Parts: sequence; C-alpha cells; structure tokens
Amino acid sequence: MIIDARSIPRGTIVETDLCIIGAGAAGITLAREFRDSPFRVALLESGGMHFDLETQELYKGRSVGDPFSDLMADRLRYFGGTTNHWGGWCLPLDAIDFEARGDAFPYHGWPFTKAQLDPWYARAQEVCQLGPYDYRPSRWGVSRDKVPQPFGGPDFEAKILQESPPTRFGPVYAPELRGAPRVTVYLHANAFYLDAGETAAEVKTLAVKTLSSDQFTVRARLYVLATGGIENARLLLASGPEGGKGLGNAHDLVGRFFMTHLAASGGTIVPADSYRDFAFATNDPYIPGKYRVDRILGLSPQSMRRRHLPNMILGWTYKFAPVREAVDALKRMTHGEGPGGSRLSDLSEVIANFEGVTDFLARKVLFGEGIPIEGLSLWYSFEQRPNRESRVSLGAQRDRLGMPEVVVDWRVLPEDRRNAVDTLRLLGMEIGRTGFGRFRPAWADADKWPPDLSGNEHHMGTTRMHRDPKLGVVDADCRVHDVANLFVAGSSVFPTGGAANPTLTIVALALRLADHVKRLLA
Amino acid sequence: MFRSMPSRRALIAAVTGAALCPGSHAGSAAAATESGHAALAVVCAHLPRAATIGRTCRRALPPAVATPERLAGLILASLPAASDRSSARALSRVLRARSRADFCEGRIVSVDGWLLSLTEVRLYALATLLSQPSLGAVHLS
Ligand SMILES: Cc1cc2nc3c(=O)[nH]c(=O)nc-3n(C[C@H](O)[C@H](O)[C@H](O)COP(=O)(O)OP(=O)(O)OC[C@H]3O[C@@H](n4cnc5c(N)ncnc54)[C@H](O)[C@@H]3O)c2cc1C
Repeated sequence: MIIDARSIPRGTIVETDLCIIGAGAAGITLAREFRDSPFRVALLESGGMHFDLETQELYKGRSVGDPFSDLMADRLRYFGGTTNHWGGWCLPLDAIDFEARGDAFPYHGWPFTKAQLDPWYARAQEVCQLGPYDYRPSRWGVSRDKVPQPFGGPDFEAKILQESPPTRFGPVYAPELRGAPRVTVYLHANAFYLDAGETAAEVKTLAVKTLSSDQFTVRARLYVLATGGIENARLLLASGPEGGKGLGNAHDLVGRFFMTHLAASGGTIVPADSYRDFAFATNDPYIPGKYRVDRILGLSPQSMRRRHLPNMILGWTYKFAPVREAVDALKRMTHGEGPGGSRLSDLSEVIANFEGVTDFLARKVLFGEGIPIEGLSLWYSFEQRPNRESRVSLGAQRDRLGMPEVVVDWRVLPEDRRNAVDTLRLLGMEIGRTGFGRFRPAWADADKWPPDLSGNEHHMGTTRMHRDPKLGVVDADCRVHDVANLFVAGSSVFPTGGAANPTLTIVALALRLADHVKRLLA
Repeated sequence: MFRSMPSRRALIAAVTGAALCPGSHAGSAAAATESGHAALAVVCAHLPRAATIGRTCRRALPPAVATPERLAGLILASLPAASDRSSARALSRVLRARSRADFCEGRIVSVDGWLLSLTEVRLYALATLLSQPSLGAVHLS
C-alpha cells in the first residue's frame, strides 16, 4: 500500500514491526524483501512520487572544506531517491577493499571479506537489472590478447563494469510495494527525530513531520535508517538525548570519515599507432545477449600492494581524427546509415575532407583499418582514504521542518593527492615503456588542485562499520553500536570505499541486512 | 605549442615512432664512428618535426646541459658500452631501447605536460641545436 502521510491525523501513532526511513536504492531493496513476509513494514519517504522543489530544498547544505559538488543536485529527495537520476554503472568492490592494509592505509578494511558478501552481490545483480554476477573480463569477450600491452599487467589490468538500464527504483518497484499486503509506504513523511530516551539504549519512537506541518509518531520494533550517505549522519546527529552529541555517537564518530571517490578527467593518451585495433577499447558498450558491459582499466591488486597505492579505475573516450565526420557523412549518403545530417551538408563534409576520406577508404580496403584515433581522453576514480577530519556535521541554520542544516567539510589528505599523481605518472611510464604512446596527465602536481576535481556523489563513511565501537558507528550487522534496535543501510556504513561505484554494494548490503532483520523479527 | 590535437598527435607519433628509427634513407647515410657521434648526428638530422618539439624539449632541460657537446655526450654515455653505434639505424635501435628503459626506471621529463623519456628529450633538444643556423655548422666529433 502507498499512502500520503499528509492525510494522517496529527498525533497518530503508527505501530509497526519494522520502520525503514528513506525510499532510495537501500530502503526500497529492504522493503521489497518483506513483500511476502508476515511482518508489518512502514517505509517512510520524504518526497512524493515525483520531484518537487519544496521537498528537494530540505537537502540544502553548506560545504566548508575542499571543493564539493552541489548537495542539492547530488541527491534526489523523492520516492526512488537518487536512483531517479543515477547512471547505472555497477561493479562490486574488490577483495582488497575489504582487507586491512597495514600502516600505509590506516582504518582500511571491513569486518568481513568480499567472499562473505558475494552471495548478496549475486542477488543484487537482479535487483539492479544486471547480467550474471561475473565480472571477469574474459566472461564478456575481453580476452587477454585483445588487451593492449600496458593494460595487461603487471600494474594495470582490464576490468569491466555492467550497466544497469539504469533501474529507477521508484517506478520499477512501486507496483510491487503497492501490492505488498504488509508493507505500507508513507509519502511526504520526513523522519525528524529518533527518540531513544535518556539511556539511548534503544529507539522508542520516531517523530515524523510533513511539510504541511503535521506531525505523527512511528513506534516500531526495529528501525533502519536508509536516507543516503549524508542524511543518515544528519538524522543521528539531530537525535538522541537532549543536549547530547547525537544518537550512536558516544565516540564522536557519526559524520566523520566522510569519503567520496576522487573522480575527474585524467589526461590524454596519444597512441603511437593510431590505426591500432582497439577492439578492447570501444566507446560502444559491448552487449553480449541483452546485457550492457563497459570495459575499463584498474590497478592490479599486486600493484596496489607492492606500490602501496589505493584502488582506482580508469575509463576513456575517444578523440577520433576529424575525418570521422566525413566518413560518417559518406556512409549516410551511400547506405542511409546512422543519425543526423542532411544530403547537402553530408556532401560538403565529404568534399571538404576529400583527401582524408580517400585515404580512409584505401586503408580500409587494403588493410581493413578503421578511423584513426587521435587520442584517448581519460577519466579516473580514485579511492579516498578514511580521514577522521573529513566530516559531516550540523550547522546553526535550520530547514523548513526545523532540522539543523548539514555542513560538509570534505577533506582530501595529501597522501591521497600524492597517490593519485603517482598513479597517473605510473600510467605514463607504462604507456611509454610498452611503446603504446605517450601520456599527458591532467594532474601532475600533488600540491595543486585539479580544476575539475570535487567531492562527488558517492557519499560514504559517515556511519562507518567496525567491530570496535571506538572505530565504527555500526557493527558488522549494520546495527548502531549500543542501540539495540537501530540499523543503518547505505554507503554511509562503508568503512573503505574502493574505487567502484557504490550502489551495487549498497543493494547487496541491504539484502544482507534484510536477512538479518527477518531473523530478529521472527 | 602542443595545443591543438592534430599537431599534438603528429608530434607524439614523431617522438614515439619515426624519431627513433630513421629508416633506410638514413641508415645508409650514416658514417660509422666508434663513439657513435656521427651516427647520432644522422639520427638527429632525420628526426621529424625536430624544430618544434626540440625547442620545447630544450627548455625543459637545465641550461647547463643544453649545448650540443654536452647533450651528445650525455646521450651516448647513457647507452650500454657494448651497444652497436656503427650506423644511424643501429643507434636508433639502441636509443629506442634506452628510451623504454627510461620509462621503466622513472627517468621521465615533463615537457609541456607530456611525460617523455629523458633520452628522447635530450635527443630532440640536440636535434634542434644542431639545426640552428645561428650556431653555424655544429659538428659532433
Ligand atoms: C548524477 C548521479 C549519477 C550516479 N551514478 C551512479 C552510478 O552510475 N553507479 C552507482 O553505483 N551510483 C551512482 N550514483 C549514486 C547512487 O545514486 C547512490 O549511491 C544511491 O542512490 C544511494 O542509495 P541510497 O538508498 O543510500 O540513497 P538515495 O537513493 O539518495 O535515497 C535516500 C532516500 O531517502 C529519502 N530521505 C532523505 N531524508 C529523509 C528523511 N529525513 N525522512 C524520510 N526520507 C528521507 C530521500 O528522499 C531518498 O528517497 C549516482 C548519483 C548521482 C547523483
């Protein structure tokens, strides 16, 4: 059932077994797991079924640290959450991301291994409408001999990511939740305050507000926070005993260790042989059967270990020689192929590039060669180290509901910058060593900030997971340490974020949490 | 300098490929000497786009080493003692191997942002110096 919380009379107490706060990738995944269960589930969502500015403005915040992307644009506050405009790139974290990495990487590692999460990763594939849980490049037609030498090891290696359609969790899963007999979705319902009494040992009730200033209460056996990587911390900091540091924050960890991926343009590779067969490196996603797969590059785990480097992934787009336009025009004229262009403009394009086109045709006929490539423009995504001083906290301003504003102080450590610059330099060395071409990194001086780098939309770490309450907000089951009935879902629990886009892992963890919660409720 | 893509591509192709293998037209022209100076001069004479690339490379090197004699000395001294320098073609092969070894061992110079090997940077700087009319006929011997 889906209802509008604005229709609930002021002062109502909603009784339920499980209260899930936030209907994005994490919250919807969790709720779906209860669609046939005997337990009553309340899924609270701040927004409605569609975008509206009034609600979105509750996401306003301030950035006071390193350059950070727009907090209003990075997240979407309505049913389906940020998946209403996510890109759908999916890949699991690597095994090394779960490992402790010694003194070179303080605070690194998860309380379990990747192999232990694998069964839920496999299930997450289906939720995100992906292919089989198999990320070996060979499974997707990327054989070793097709990978250009610098990317066949020992430092860099081919990887793949799978593309979700992208699944819009709201519209895709709303019908199912609407039909689930024991699940109730409350739209326009803003979780406002988790009341855990004086002892803060367990959540007693949740105060919920609507923008039409109605207020009601939810009383549940168990609560799951699933409001996204920043809001999870905001709600905890704003809750708990009056005048305190917030709920689950005995060790001043909530909001700290805030990480994203360091993602920006990486530079330009100019290949020595512009006619080289780049079958490995295509702009077009490879579609074996019905699944879309993209080829990317990564650092090998051996290289990360040997050189003490963080994880990273690299992708590229082509810069084709200008003749490409003319060749496309010629194809359209002769075969009616491809989009765009009018007869006349195509003709003038071909005439203007006559020499290039004839050269292309000759090479195509004689050597089977394609369009020459002028360069490859790279983008990178680096792992950010957990950093206690990088944090989300509450400011003095309040939003329309009276909730303290969020202040983001995202900080990148000098080691992160150095590692990024060193890795790009390593790439340049490998490209030169193997004779593949030459590389101009976009970031070559660790003391300078690259123009297009800012904290991105992968918000992680603010309620980090650790067995030890002094080092983590939640335990290995995603339960807030010392709060018996409160759990957290989403990337805020990631103790380390690797280089992979986070949503597949968010979904896998939500499925794992659902299994755990079912056992507790039973 | 390396601003627009077409010239950039051409320049890099020059550095990565043709530069270090002058081909048959150059090989036969080389007068072999024990030290390789003569062969080096021929290699330099056949570097494509040496003037443009070389000027930037020269600026990337410390002024003290940017003389033809110093550069030639540094380049040749960096090669394995037993390497074949009897012709431009042979020397090109050795230089190419050296250039790759530079990348392996981190002897890299940033030239206008491009990561180039020390050997190729020196080579291009030398080529531009040798071709400068203001210096008169510079001979490497
Ligand atoms: C432009 C863009 C592209 C992206 N592309 C990718 C990609 O290609 N691959 C990838 O893996 N990830 C991508 N992401 C990230 C991805 O969208 C997030 O990782 C994912 O949506 C997080 O899921 P979540 O459920 O934790 O949070 P969200 O999806 O943000 O959902 C949180 C929900 O909680 C609700 N909420 C918030 N506060 C309250 C409250 N107080 N009370 C009630 N409800 C509340 C919100 O309205 C929202 O519906 C992208 C993000 C952006 C912005």
